[in-house]
Parts: sequence; C-alpha cells; structure tokens
Amino acid sequence: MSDALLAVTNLRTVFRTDRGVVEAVRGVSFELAAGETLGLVGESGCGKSVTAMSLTRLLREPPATILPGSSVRFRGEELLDASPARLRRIRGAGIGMIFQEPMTSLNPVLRIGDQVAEAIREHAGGDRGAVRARVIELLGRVGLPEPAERYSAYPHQLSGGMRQRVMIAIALAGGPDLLVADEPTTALDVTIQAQILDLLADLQRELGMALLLISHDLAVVSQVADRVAVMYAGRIVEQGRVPGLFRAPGHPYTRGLLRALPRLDTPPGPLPAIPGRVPDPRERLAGCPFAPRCPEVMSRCETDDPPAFPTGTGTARCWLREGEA
Amino acid sequence: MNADVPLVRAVGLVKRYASGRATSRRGHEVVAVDGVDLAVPSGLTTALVGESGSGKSTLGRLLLALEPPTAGRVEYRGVDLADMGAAALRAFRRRAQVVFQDPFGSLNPRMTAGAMLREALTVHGIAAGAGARRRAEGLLERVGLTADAVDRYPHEFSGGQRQRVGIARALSVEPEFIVLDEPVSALDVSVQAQILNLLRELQRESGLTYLFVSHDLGVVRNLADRIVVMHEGRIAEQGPADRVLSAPEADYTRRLLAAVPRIP
Repeated sequence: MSDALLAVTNLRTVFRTDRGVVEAVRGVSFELAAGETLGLVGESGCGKSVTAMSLTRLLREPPATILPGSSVRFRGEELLDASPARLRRIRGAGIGMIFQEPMTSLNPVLRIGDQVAEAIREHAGGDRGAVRARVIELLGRVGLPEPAERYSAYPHQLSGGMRQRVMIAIALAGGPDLLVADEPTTALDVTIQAQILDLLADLQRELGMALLLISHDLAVVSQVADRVAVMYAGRIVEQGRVPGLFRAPGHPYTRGLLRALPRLDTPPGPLPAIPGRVPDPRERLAGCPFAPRCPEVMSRCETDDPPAFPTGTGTARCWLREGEA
Repeated sequence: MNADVPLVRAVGLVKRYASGRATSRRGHEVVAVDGVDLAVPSGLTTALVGESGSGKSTLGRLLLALEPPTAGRVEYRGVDLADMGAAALRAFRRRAQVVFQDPFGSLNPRMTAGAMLREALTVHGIAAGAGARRRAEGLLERVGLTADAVDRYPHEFSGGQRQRVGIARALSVEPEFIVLDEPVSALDVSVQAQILNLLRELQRESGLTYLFVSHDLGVVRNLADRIVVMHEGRIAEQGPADRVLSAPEADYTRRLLAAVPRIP
C-alpha cells in the first residue's frame, strides 16, 4: 500500500436514469501526496466533478452508485466503507471543499461570521469569544479586508470574489489536510481569479495542505498545479508533471485541447478544432474512447483499450506511447 | 457611402440607471456607460473587453438600440438612430443582429430550430411558406448543421449546436452588423474553436461587421482586428488588436493582461 495522503483506485460511479445507466466515472485512479497540488482537467461531462463528489460521498445515492471494486483511501482509511457519521467528520476536518458558486453554498439570511463560526464549532469547541476570534483570524487570513467589521455582513453585501474568500475560510475551519476546489474561479473576473489562485497557493504552502483543483481551464490549472490529470469520457487519459505535460503532451486528446485553445501568445487565425464530439456516457466503450476523434488512430485503438504507458512526465493511456519510455 | 464613415459610431454615449439595490440610498444612480466615443469600422471585428460591471454589455445594447441612451447618440451609417423614422428603424433592426451566450436562454422550448428561423424570415418579409423552410435548411447547413436540424427542439442540441442555431438565426435576415455577446463563453475548448472558426469564415464570405463582447483575452486575440478596453463605464484604451495586446498604454489594460493565466 502506498503512503499517499489520498489514493483513488479504479473509481467507478454510475447514475441510473430513465434513459439507461450513465457511466460518469469509468475507472479513475490517482494519488495525491501530502502538500501536493493535483489539477483535474477536462471538458463538460468528462466526470471530473463526479469524481470529486464521490471522494466524500457527496452524491445522492441513488440515483448515483459507486460500484464495488472502487476504492478511496484517505490517510490509509477506506472512505467508501466509512459510516455517515465518520464521513461527516472527515468532511471539513480531513477534506475541505469549495465550489464554483459561493452564493448557492452560503446561507443568504445568516451573517458570514456566524457561518464560519458554525464550521469551526463542528470540529472544535471553545467559548464564544474564542470562536469569534478564530473567525476573524480566518477571515483575515483569506484576505477579507476589515474582517472584524465584515463579521456581520450578509452574503449579498459581498462581491463574488469576497464570497469565495468566505467559502475558503469555511473550508479551512476544520484544519483539513486536503482541500478540494471544484471550479473555484470559474464565475469570477480574471483579475479576481488571479487573486484567488494566489491565495489558494499561499494557503496551501503555509498550511501544508494538499489541493485537488478541478477545472475546465487548462491555463488556470497550469498556474497552480504540480501535476495534472486530464479526463476524457469518465477516465484519466493522461497524468503528468507541470510544465512537462503542457510542453510535451503524451496523449492526442491533451495535444488537441492545447492546440484548440486560443491564447495570447499564439497568432490570430483558424484554430485546429477537435472534430466530432464526446461519446455518449450511456454507451459501452470498446477500445480507446478517443479513437473516433483521434488524428493518429490505429486499427487496434478501436478494439483494445490502452492501459497507462509511461511518458516523459507521467503516464498516458495511448497505444502510441507503448514501449516508448 | 463615404469610406471614412464607420458603420456604427457612438458619440458621448451615457447610460444611467436608477439603482434597484436594497442597500443603496434612494435616488442613487448607477452609471453603466459614462461618456463613450467609439467607431466600429465596417467589415472588421471590434472586440469590447472588460470585466463584469465594466459596461461592455450595456454598450452593446445601446449600439443595437435595444435601450435608449441617457445622453449622447448612436449613428448607423452616419444617421442618428434617434432621428430614424419607423421604416428606417425597422430596416436597422434587420441589419443589426445579436448572438447571446445562450441563444436558447429566452426561447420557447417547444419551438423547433426551423420554426424559429421561419419566424425571423416571415417577420422581416424575406421568405414565407415552403421557401422559408428551404431557406431555413440552407442556413442550418451554412453554420455546419445538417438540414434535418430544422425539426429538432432546443433540448436536442448540444451547447455548440445551439450556438450554431443562434448564429443561423442572426444570419437569416442578412445582417451587416452582429453584436456577439460572449458567444463562446459557455462552450468547451474543443467546441469553442469550431464556433470561432465558423464566425471567421462567415465574416470572410459575407463581409460582416462584428462587435465581439468578451472577457476572454485569448479568444479576443484570435478574432479581433481592433480592441476596445472598458473599465467602470469608460473606455480605458482602444486601438489595433496587436498594439493593445503587445504594448498596452492604459494601466488597467496592463493589469488585465497580467492577470490572464498563461500555459508554460
């Protein structure tokens, strides 16, 4: 067994719907070391958010089911066997989470200070004065100006960036070893996004937390992560270190995404788009899921599902990488 | 027409709103657009960039006469929109179209793509009956869909296909000027590239003039000939795209560029 902080092995999450079984996560495996930042990237429907929600069983079951054979070990403990009470304890004190839209996660009729205080009390005792002091310290730590005055503010009185800072304070209240951030800056303006990403990186360094950053945005992930995992059709098709993965992507999908992305440092002109579309998640897959859109497809790709082969910076599930590294 | 006259021009444009926010004092006003002078040259793409609250979307609506300005004027081919009679305004509303981030956001989910296009064609007296249907099929093919898309409903399209239908609807009335308001912001990277390529092709084929409202500077770099940077209701800077991005003059533009995450 590895000594990783988080070890996810063959995670499979399905949804039973009226129109059949949707295989959202089709065998995802990755590890995260203490203090490390892993970026999980992919386009809509690739299964990155469902993967994150599966870690601490945040999905409604049913309709979701995490299939037998899946494993999520956190500090050596199997979370998929944990009791609901144990999971509640781990959420917050072990694994903190923040999401894209802080407005829907914050209670609109409660003062923000009281919401942070509630999160502190769930994990630690202390008299009112001590909790209040800790709230103000946390709000200050996440960069909320005048935290003592803002204690009594309501969510609607704050900007989107400030609300996201409050959500981060709540996620940190239990002193987690791992912070899972699902599209934390997607709803924010670019200058505010830069501030929040800096804040996450600072906190992570200072507190020694591991960070699992989930995003559709390759550039955002490339700024923050030590390693990146690229998801496609419910699985990780490539993992690798930054910047190596961006400079020499090992999977044709990663390469296609990077080339299709309009950037400030590439000249104007037609973009090499990826033809076709992602497979229907209700479909059974034979062979490589990217084969129908792959510019380098070979006949075996259509029948044989490639395992993860080593690349210069990580691994890629692509037959082109067989025997290369 | 005089070649020196821009297709669209804004002079001293101001838009103020009475603030509806519960937290603000009575009689408080929000200045969304605060004295904007702008020329949109014909046949090119002018990008309007800025963050939320910069006034870029309001400016787009003012240029389309979807809202009246508080002060200043908008000219189309040198004619003040406020001076146009009913017939001229109707002609303007046909020549100037808009594509939103989600074109189906405000639409009847029980209307097929074909019905939507036929409605636009009929309202503007361009085609009716079987002619309108054939024309709708042709438009959908032009934006990269198949003709059988005419009988499909909004929920049957993916996000990228929906945006193609939105573009087809804008094109249906043979416009000269299209305001593209964050048209690819909701799309995945691979689909975004397809739509940007489509917009570029359509412009080359038909000489369309675009006003491209966007917060994404990478996307703007890909498509824009000129860039107008908005900040707090005013123009912080404007100029040729290359110059604005490589040698920004305004502090705000520099800040904005510095905040863009870059791939190593």
